[in-house]
Amino acid sequence: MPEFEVPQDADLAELERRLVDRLDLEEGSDSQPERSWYDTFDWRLHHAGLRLVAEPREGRLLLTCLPRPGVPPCGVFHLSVSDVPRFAWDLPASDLRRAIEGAVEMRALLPRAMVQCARKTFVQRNRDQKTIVRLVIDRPAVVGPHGPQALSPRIIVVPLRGYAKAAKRAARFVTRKLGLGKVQADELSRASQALGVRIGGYVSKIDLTLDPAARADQATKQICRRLVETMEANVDGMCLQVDSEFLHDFRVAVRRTRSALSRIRGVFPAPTVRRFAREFRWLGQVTGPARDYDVYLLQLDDLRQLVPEAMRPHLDPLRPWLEKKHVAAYHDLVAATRSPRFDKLLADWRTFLGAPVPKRSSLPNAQRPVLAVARTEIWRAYRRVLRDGKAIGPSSPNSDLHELRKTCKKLRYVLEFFRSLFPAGPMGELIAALKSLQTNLGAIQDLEVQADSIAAMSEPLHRQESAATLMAIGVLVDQLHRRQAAEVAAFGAAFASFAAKGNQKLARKLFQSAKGADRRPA
Amino acid sequence: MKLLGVYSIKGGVGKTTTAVNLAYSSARQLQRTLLWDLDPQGASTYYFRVKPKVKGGVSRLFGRRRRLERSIKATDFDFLDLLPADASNRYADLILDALKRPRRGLRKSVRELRKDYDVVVLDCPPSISLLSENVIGAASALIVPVIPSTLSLRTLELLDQLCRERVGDGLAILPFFSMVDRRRKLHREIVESLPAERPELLATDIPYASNVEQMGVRRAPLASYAPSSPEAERYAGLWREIRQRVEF
Repeated sequence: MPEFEVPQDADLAELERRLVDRLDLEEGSDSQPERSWYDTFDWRLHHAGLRLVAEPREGRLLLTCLPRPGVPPCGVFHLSVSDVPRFAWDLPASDLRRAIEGAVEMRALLPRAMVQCARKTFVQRNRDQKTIVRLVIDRPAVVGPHGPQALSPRIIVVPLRGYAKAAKRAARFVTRKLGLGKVQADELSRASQALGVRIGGYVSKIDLTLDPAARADQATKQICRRLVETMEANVDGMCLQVDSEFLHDFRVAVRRTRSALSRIRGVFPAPTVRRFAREFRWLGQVTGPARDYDVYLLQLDDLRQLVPEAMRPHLDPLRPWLEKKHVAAYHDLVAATRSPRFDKLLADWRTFLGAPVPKRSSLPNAQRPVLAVARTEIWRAYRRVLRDGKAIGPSSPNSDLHELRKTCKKLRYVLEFFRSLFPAGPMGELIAALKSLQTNLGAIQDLEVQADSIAAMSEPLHRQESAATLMAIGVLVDQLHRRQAAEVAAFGAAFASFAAKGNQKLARKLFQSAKGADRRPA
Repeated sequence: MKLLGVYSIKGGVGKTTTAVNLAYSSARQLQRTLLWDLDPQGASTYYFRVKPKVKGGVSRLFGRRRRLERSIKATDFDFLDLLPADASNRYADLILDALKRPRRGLRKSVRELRKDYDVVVLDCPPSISLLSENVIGAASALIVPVIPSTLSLRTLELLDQLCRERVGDGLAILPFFSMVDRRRKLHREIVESLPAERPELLATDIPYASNVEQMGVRRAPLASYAPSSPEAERYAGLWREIRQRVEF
């Protein structure tokens, strides 16, 4: 649908007069359509090349999913709904749902911009009085916190199927005779710009570009500032339980912060590190139970599939029980994040991160170039993963695998902190190799934790639920243990692939530096 | 996608007005709707002011050489497109008969439309033909206008028999009273007595009214120019009932 931008200072009435006269248009109707653009908090639809817009029509909402500008065109899907559900999985089965649910997953659909229009529609008819093209003049305004904010008007040529020539003629007239250019950005982009929101602005990944020559203490503060921003961005959504990923992203940022404090050694004073490490550990602990119940509830449908079909209904009592626990866990979480301790932690951390680094520091790594410190820390973590992994054999207890998982996480975090300091290709290769090992180790631990937790649930449930429910829980726990055993058996191959000679050579080349070569000249 | 055939063996019972108004009701509910005018007389096409022309004629509608999408036209109403009639539609049986599976030609053609439409309404020509057998074989339901007269009831029985022979009991046949003139005693009697014998009969009937006749002059669906008329309400009610019965 060709859309043309009318400059703010253009005489719209004159343009309208010329359009009507030259194209022999008939005035159709005036209307005030409204459009709400939806995406997730982390812009998953945008990143998947999609736009989702809802318009009130005929007493319902017309949802339209379309490709965003600049991506290869794909289908346009419509769906009529009574309201926009919070989650894609609550939409009726349809092409539109299929188009978005893979990208959106468990994230909530949130209104990102609302646009109100004063619209005039004109039609061109043929000799049979059949409409062959519509022209629309829109004067849109984005609804902001301080009222509507005008966007530049647009002229839209609406082609009708089977009458392409008429639409082409009209578009040509608008371009050549009225001298208007096609709109450069779509409505969501323009509305977001007016609201001061950057589309795709939130990412949970650490997307920093560090200066290799920067002081390590300064660069570490930069990394931690990015992490505290992520925590702050997610607090409200987490407390309001908009979706489970606010808490997830918050916790990841807390874990990364703890990791930065412990893995990037000798850059901050020891008492500071001790204090904040203790406080962020507390934050990790008070948010842990709520995350566990989020995960159980998200996975419950998949877990049901693990037991025979006839037994699945007997697992139904698990959901209300989990939901009750979930509510209590979130209650505790909200209380913790509304507490003076939490406020003080973030405020003090912000103050520390905002303060300039001391000109001279007695700390061993503070004044070293970050690239040198990054090499040391990554190489140390990498060697530890290799050493601990090689020590694991078929008879090793699962606790060794859990320890290795933690070590891998630490390596992953330091790799991600300092990713921008190294060539993207080799770094991507190493992270991918680590990722597949982590997937295996994660599955081993998650399955064990799930099995243990579900087994533990049968204790409080046994007084109120039937024997059939307890039996179904037993079967489920058994299935989880079997799956875990399969993952443990696959560990050898997963580790061998990570520790392949090629990867080791690459790691050595990237991170092993000649001793003393990275010291700053005095 | 739901395929609804508006069909009757008998002519002049209000098939086209039904097809046009039901398709319009469907589009009003934001369902992407296509009205396919299979009748060579092209009355549906006329109502929407579209030229009765299929590029390449009826041979482009069925079989290997089909190119349906090239002939589809938007109507003046959102979510409602039309596949117009063509004079060559009268040769539809010949084209279908030449196919490898003559009774499945329409089903194959309609399959192509699944991506673009939620509902396809077929405005079928009267008579028993290979084309009507194709409609019976492909449709999700048959919407059958019945004038409350002895002759119409007889053709309804004939249709029942035809459908049973072709597809067994699997097809939903949804008759409803059309062009009901309550001033006539026979109409009143049949409208009152038949539902007891035929429980599948839809409860909504469409009266004989000048408002409906105006469609030919206005060349538009009834609800587009007389949205609050009792007859437009009836068509909307009829559509609601069909959706409930066909479950979509």
